[in-house]
Amino acid sequence: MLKYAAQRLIMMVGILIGVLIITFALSRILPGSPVELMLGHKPTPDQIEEAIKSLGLDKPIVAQFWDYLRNAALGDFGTSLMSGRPVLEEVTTRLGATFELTTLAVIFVVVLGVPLGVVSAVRQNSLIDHLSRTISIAGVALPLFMTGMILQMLFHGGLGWLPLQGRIGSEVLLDYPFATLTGLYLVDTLIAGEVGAFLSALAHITLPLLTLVIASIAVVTRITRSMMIEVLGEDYIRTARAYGYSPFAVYYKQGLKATLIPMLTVVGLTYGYMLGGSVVVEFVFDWPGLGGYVVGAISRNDFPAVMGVTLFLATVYLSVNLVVDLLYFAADPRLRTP
Amino acid sequence: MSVSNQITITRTDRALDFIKRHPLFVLGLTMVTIIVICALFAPAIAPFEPGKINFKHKLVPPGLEHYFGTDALGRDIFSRIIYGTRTSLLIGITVLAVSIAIGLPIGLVAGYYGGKVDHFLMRISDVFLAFPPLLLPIAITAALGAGLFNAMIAIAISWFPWYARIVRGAVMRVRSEQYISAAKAIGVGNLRVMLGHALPNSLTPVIVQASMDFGYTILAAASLSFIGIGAKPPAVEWGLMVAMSRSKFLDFWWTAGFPGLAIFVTVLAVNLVGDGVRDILDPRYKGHS
Amino acid sequence: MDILKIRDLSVTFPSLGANTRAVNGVDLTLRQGEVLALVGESGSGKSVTSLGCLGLVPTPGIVTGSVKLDEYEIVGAEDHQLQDIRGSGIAMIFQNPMAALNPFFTIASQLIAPIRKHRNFDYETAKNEALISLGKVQMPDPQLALEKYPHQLSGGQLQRVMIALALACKPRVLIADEPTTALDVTVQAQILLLLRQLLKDEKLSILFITHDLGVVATLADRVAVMYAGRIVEIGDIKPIFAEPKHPYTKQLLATVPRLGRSKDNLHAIEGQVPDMAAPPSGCAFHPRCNQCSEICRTDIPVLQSFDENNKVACHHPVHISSGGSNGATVLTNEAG
Repeated sequence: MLKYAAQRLIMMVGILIGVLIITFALSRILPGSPVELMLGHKPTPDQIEEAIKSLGLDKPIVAQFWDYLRNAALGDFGTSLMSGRPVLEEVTTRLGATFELTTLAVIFVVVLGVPLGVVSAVRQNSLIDHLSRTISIAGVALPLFMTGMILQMLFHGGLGWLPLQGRIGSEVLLDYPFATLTGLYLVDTLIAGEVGAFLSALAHITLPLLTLVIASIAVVTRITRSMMIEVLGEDYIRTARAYGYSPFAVYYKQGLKATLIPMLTVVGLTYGYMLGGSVVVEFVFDWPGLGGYVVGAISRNDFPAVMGVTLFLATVYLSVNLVVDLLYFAADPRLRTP
Repeated sequence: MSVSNQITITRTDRALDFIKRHPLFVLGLTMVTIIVICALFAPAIAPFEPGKINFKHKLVPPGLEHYFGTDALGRDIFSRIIYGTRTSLLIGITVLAVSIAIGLPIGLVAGYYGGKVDHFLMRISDVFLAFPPLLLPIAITAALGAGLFNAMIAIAISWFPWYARIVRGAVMRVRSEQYISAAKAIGVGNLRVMLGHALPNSLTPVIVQASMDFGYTILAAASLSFIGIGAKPPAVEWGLMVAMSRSKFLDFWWTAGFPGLAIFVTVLAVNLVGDGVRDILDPRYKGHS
Repeated sequence: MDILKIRDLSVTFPSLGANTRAVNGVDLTLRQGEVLALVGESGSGKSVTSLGCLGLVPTPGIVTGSVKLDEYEIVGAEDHQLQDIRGSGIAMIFQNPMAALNPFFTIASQLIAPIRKHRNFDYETAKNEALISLGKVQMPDPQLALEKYPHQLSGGQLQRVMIALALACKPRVLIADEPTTALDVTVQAQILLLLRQLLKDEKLSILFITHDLGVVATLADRVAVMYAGRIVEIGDIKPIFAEPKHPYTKQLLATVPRLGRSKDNLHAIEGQVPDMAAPPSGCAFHPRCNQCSEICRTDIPVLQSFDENNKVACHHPVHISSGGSNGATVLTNEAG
């Protein structure tokens, strides 16, 4: 088991280096040189030369990459051109917002989507099956931003129930201050006992959450359904039935366990989808997370920021997949014991 | 003689049976045909010039003169949507073509030679797959500079590993077939075997995957345009149209609604076709009924 | 005493175009303490027949007719009632033991749960019972086996586990669906020997499904030959092997290669197994039969007795007195 974990970890590091190569290469093929971007106004040749030296751009490319690599390992992702602060700092302040949104989304999608998929598989061609398949096909076709905007039109513009954007009401922060311990507003407001703040946070997270969930639940349901159908066709299901297991016991006890293992991969992929989707969703809802930050950074040509966030999110995604791999290993007896 | 109970099956019967068995596919195909017609004959179908600005008619609700209303610059939304079909179809074709052009040779080489070559190439594609969806296209587009063309290249580059994998898988399957050993035994060169045998076999899964991916590429491009790094004015692209409507869409729902609907309908149609292609071409797929 | 009575069992799978009649009016009786072999090629419908006995025909299939265990009617019974019968009334062992057990659960959990259900034991007693059963099937180190996962055991061992599972539920009838087909030849022999031993010790009544005539000769008291969803010949094993009456049975027996015979004469039955979605008219075997006549093409032959225990469904059963080397005798010791 340990050997397996070590193998996977090494592979992950290898891939990370590859990712770094890509981000490094990208940052060097900018249309404007990094110097001009940094200095903004028309710089004098002296200023340019000084800047080049300070950015280390006069060294050979391999040395530059090595510096880049070393810096990344130490957490130095460069400095944001917009704010002048280290990119890492910008990332950590916004981390909680994205984490709260995406993690909740994944939880909801799995909790809702998996049972729906199971029921669809067990009762193939029933009303639930057809309904969920129709929603699946349709849900996949609607872009995230449209789902978000439609929800805004409905619940804010039309019904006025929920706020348009943001993470929490601005007046709330003044009236009901709370300490950000975890960075997750829903948790922190409860810890601080500020119910008003909690409700505001809840109201604000509902629509972005709903947007992410609607978009991916279709996929998860479909995948669960087809995996479950495949499992249900296996011989050991027939054996179980031949010895008197009720359909319920067969599906939900034997069948489900066989489905849950490949489901882990789906959960990992879903998390990745959420991370990617957070870019659009946070932009639509003005959610102060990493996704929204990236969009702002792009529009202002803050390339270090864009690269830094991309690198960060890729690392998170890889880590999630690593965890999934390890869980796989723990869950499937065929991998565990020779 | 045994009693013959043969019935002559006419071509109409076969066609009707096909429609009955694959209703969604046929529906998708019909929709796609309409979309293609819109793209090809846009100037004839669209009542207005897509870029024609008319401040006197700005933000007009859907009606008889402007079927889908007008946007903040007075441009007819219906016409812009018709012209937008060209952009979307172009996006799909371009992205997939580039992606396959990159992924196919890589997959061929990896699958055919196996061993270290394969290992190396697969690690490279793992790197590309390590990015959450959309992030790599965003980073690449940011590096190349905003614009529809760059966005398409970015999406294509991010997507090629899938095709490399598919081709590799198909080639590996073929490689273990005995007729390959037979061909090599009589001295047919590696390249010829690859091109002559492995390549045709990998085309079917590639076609299946491409038809299923078409919709995704349109969505990705629309998303990139929406956040401002994809299509830029005066390009007519649905995602861009939604982006430009953002400040007003709550009160003027048609400025966002119709472009969004266009995206939805197009992607849906293409997905239905893709699903149908997969059902028909891939006998291994044990999907719905 | 008749323990399992199958009467006019038919299983149809509806599909676009044509319905497939996998089983077409099968009559079978299993008597207590006997081994009845159900023989046929792939596609003859024998497996589906066995599934029909347990109410386990896969969903699109429609089952008509009657299957009675003692006096209890299985066809059409409610699923929750059948759950009690499955295992303790009729126990089934399947063809591919590697796939027949759930890879995610230990042997222990897969044995103990059904034992607890059917024999109403608590966990410890059931576990004990499982150990006893594993001992009966000559499993090396039953205690260790319980803790393993299926992928850790060999095919032969897994089949023993399946047999142990069947035995532990104390069934009235054991249906064995090609239990040795997926195993190596040496393992096959072991399992067959084991079954023969258990037959006597446990006083089982077995419906044994196979396409291997050698296996039939080893184990069976009676044999039923199935073709295209119908029983074409049924009776005591010795007479049928010595003098088969149905042309198909005769050809089947002739395909078994035998020591001492010339190697040039590898016999194969001409033609192909019929497509059950569009079966031949009249007698389903007629396209391949060398005794075929006009009536064979139009009328389906009915199972008729030609002596006390044996029946055949043929318009021209091979006559007893047509001598020569028609029939092949597997049972007589040719090698001398």
